[in-house]
Amino acid sequence: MKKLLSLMLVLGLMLSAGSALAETIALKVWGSQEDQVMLQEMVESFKAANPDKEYDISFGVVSEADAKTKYLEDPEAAADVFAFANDHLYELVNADALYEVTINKEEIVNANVASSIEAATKDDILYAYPITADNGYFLYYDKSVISEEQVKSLDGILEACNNAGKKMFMDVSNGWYIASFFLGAGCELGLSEDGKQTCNFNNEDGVKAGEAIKAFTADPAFLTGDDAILTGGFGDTIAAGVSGTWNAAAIKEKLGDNYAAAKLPTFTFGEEQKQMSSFGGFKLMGVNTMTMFPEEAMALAQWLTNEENQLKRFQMRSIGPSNKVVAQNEDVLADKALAALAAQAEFAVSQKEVLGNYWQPAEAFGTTMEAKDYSKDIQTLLDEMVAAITN
Amino acid sequence: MSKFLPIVDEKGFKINAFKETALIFKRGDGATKLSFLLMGFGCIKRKQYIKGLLYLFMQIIFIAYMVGFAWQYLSNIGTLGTESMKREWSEARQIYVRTPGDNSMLILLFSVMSILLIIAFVLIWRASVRSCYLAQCYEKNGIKQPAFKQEIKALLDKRFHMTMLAIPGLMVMAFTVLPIIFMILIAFTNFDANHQPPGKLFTWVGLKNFTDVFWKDPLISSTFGKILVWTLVWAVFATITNYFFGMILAIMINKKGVRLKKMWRTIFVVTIAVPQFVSLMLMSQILHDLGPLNLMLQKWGFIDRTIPFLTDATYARITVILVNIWVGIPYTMLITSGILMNIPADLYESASIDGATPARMFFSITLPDMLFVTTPYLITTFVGNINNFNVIYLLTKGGPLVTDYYQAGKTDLLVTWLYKLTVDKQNYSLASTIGIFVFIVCASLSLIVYNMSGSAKREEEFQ
Amino acid sequence: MKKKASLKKNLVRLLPLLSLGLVLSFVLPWLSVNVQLSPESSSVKTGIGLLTSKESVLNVKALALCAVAAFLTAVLILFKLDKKLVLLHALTLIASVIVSVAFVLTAKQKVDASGLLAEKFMVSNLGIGLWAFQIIAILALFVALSAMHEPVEYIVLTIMASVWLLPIIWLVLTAFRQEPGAYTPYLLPKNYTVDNFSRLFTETQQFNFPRWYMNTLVVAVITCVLTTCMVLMIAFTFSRLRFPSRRTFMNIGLILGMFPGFMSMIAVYHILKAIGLAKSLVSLVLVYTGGGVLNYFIAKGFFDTIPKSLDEAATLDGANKNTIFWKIILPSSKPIVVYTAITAFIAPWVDFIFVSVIMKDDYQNYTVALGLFKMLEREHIYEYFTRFCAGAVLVAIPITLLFIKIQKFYVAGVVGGAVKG
Repeated sequence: MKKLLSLMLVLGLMLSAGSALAETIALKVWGSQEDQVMLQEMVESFKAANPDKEYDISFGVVSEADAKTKYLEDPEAAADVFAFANDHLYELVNADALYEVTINKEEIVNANVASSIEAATKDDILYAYPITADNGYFLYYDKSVISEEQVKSLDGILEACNNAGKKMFMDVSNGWYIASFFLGAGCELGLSEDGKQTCNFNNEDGVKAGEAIKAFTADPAFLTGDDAILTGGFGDTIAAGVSGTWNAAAIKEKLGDNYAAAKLPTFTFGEEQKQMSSFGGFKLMGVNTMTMFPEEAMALAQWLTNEENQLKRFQMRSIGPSNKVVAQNEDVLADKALAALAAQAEFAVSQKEVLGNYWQPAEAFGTTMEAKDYSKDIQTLLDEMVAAITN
Repeated sequence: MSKFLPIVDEKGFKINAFKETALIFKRGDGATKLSFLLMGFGCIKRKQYIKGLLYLFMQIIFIAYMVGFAWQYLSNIGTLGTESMKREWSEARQIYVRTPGDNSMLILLFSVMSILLIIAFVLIWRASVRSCYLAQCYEKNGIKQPAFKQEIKALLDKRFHMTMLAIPGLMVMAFTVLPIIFMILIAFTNFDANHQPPGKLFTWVGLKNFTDVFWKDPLISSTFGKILVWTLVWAVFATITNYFFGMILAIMINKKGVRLKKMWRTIFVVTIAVPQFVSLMLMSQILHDLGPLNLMLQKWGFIDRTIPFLTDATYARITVILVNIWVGIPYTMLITSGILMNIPADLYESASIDGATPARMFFSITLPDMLFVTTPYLITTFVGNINNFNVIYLLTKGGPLVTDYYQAGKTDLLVTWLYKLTVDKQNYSLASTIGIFVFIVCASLSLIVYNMSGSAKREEEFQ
Repeated sequence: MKKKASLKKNLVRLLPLLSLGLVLSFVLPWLSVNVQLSPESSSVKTGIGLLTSKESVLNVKALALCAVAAFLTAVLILFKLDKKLVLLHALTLIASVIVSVAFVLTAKQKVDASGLLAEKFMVSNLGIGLWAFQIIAILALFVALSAMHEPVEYIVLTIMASVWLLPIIWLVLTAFRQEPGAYTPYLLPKNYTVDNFSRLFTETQQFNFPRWYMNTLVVAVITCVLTTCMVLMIAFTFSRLRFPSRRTFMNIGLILGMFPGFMSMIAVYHILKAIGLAKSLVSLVLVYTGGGVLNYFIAKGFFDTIPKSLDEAATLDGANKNTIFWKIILPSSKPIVVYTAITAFIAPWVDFIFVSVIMKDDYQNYTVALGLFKMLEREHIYEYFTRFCAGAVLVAIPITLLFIKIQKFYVAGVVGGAVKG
């Protein structure tokens, strides 16, 4: 009986395998809404470059930020190839979600800047293909309102804004942005040996950074909100704003000739001035371990992140490349936003060791500051925040 | 059914199912005894072919299901799987080939499903044994065996309840009971983001989640306590405000002499007819710091800085209750209008001759009558408000977030917290624990009140 | 009875006084206003001077007309007490309120456009008079109405109705707004367009609104039919049939309805996936029906109110339970059938959580609710907000019509069932 069953099983497997060979290779790609048109073009070129196989490639709209969550909901229903932000790498690898990059590894490592490869690596194993090196933020400003001298310090910017009756935008109620104060103060986020988040934002330096945030959010020129508010108000009510390259086009259009970008300013840290840090993030392309066609999926992932397509990304969406050759492209070098990002990169901190637990408590602290709710002192708030992060 | 079944004891009471089955085995002849093993055998022998074969067919299907499908899951239920996904280097393909291991979630899910099916099968088995016994008794007493057609007919009359409940029962089993049992069991496992199938296994952890929620983990248990208090406060306020304002609105519209009743009612009904998620998201836009309401107030100089309707803890809590009034009053208005019309008008007339003020009349006539008839409705609304996901999630997403809550904000209810833990954090086991607690609160509350309230007792009187 | 029909004389005497207050409130506070009418001119005009000024930004003629008319009718009432005159007076008061509200709106717009007047003009300068004007007008209206033995509830109802309708009106206006974005620094749209509607149907590359609309309609209709049938079956069984453990089953049903639905959605998704139905519309129908059948309590309560003697008579005539259900119970249960059907029909239009769990990334099989929800996500809200409003209007229209049409049955059903049940 058992033999018969196993025989049937083997037969069934062979049949399905046989039919799979004859079948088209069905793959699904996840990308953000704005990338859809571009992705389709890239996939068409991939098909053209691989005429020996029959591909059926479909698309799903899942942004890089949501990819981890959507993946974990049901890995089997997730895309074969998907883009994600590099701070999700640790958790994805933990869930055994990503195929190791083993085919053409050398080529990929050589083609991309070292930091991007570093961001896609855990325990010396490369898990993903770098797409961009621009998942960070810097400062956009209105040249007509803020001078080049003023833009160097937060106080200068706020003064200029107040004088002109305009606002400085920063989404402080967001762990990603608010970290720039703490990291700038020298605090650290890391991982403990058992893989839990460690955080020392509540030490002495952290409290000073917290006071700086408090002063910043209490300034009349301070404005918070989301991208819609930033892009909607830039030029009219907003004269300076902290954001990333994805808003470059919209802000450029709004500001016209007054468009300018710079690294983040310094902030008042106790008596001295300290440079604001930032999270330097990368977007990566991963191959789902559940895929039926690992080799083909890897080939596609590599194709979507190769030199030609990174250039296309920059041309179509002003996305900063991780590819070394594209990074030296004249147009890329001339891009103001990317130049500012590069200037900020010096002070940026890798986002790799930030776990999911970090974001909400950090957002909670920012929200409290924005609401100007001073019923608890900074130290208490930060202690609570750190307790929640490391829980 | 007949004088043979159910088997009664000397006092004429039914005996329990186990005893009865044993007694049938004792009293049964060879064919009936064989039917215990081979379902429907007795029936076939007594020429009830269709019925007998149907039973036999079910048995075969059941055994095939158990062997072919259920066993691989049921055998693992104790550990929820031992082998996680394997990773092997393939020199030929130059990749780490994955071979799937056990999937704890599927093991649990299909085990629960199989257990439910086994229970169903045992019930069918018992029915088959009984009907074989009945056939034996009929034969012994020389009664004609009922034809299959007749038994089908009984399904439209004496056993009509079975016919009526079969399909809905099946639906409820598959889409409510099974998932709920699964979910309850999850609360006893460590199913979270770090133990996520199919890549990783999860396993039983006993009562750990419960102890965490109630006292062990200070952050989680303090969050739980605070959210629970707010949930109850919210539910009480939301229910009472809606009930009273809705009733007052209905009284105003239904007042004698008010013209265009239908128009007034329609105006308020329009706000119900706009899907709730639309009107709530609309409200959250309107009340946003940069939304039209703040904009208007600021432009016209009523305020200097924006009112943080949804971003300040106290404001947000008041706002959600107020918006809930906006959303909910029309419903209460519709329901109470109907009841108001049923209150005899002469009661009011005699009261007004006695010189009662409108307020007196409201408190001594309208309110008592309303409370009397609407108790079940109030309970449903209260439970509905405890579970009122939409109003909170769509308006504030639970915010404003605060640092001393674990993954939650000041307006979060237990359900919205549960939702966030599930969807954003994949902490299924913690979410399930909270879910069970919410359920216990709601269920005990409504069971007690429902069974104590007039409606259950008066059930028969009404007819 | 005769006493009732006449006017409340004491109250009527208050009217002229109030009307005088109306006129005064409207003139007096203005005397203190200091305004520079154009940036260049140094001339400062005050109060009444504003009204006569050529550059007048404040057109108060209508307002003044109303106040004077109210005053005149009030004086007339003093001489000749007549119901018709009081009615006329009430009408002038209503006109005053409407005109003053309109005045606030237009004046503010003009003031904003000219940029001449102080920011807080509406409150600190104009305010006191204008608000006093409105309050007095409403107070006088109150007096006039009660003097005529008319319900004063009209005033409260009107105010409430406007609070309830304003957001809906804003939704409709935004649906026709040409400028994109969720937040605009002004209230009324600057330009109107029907593009938001047409683009919902033409730009279907990513957000396939027509497809979603059809999905929802199909799912809603099938769910509605299935759920209604099943709910009625269960309700009938529990109301009319007596069988062992009936109460247990009913309590179980009650308990099951208490579980937060989306707690079990992960399990539901995997069950659907196991039977090969994940990401399909069929699974939506199954889920909504499975969830809907537990809402049988109201229908059961309604059936309980149908006299049992009817069934007994039918049983004597030889009808079985099946016949009783079809021939006796159903025909007298129109309200509850309608109620159940509406509830079941609406569910797919408003749920976005189960759909998102079941459909995941399969945009083609979304329902309108989830689709609209997606439009408000952070990365889409700027571009899609006005289209969201347009889509919401399109969803709301059929449901509103449905509700208005069968309001009567809905009320009768829910009252008959929820309350007596």
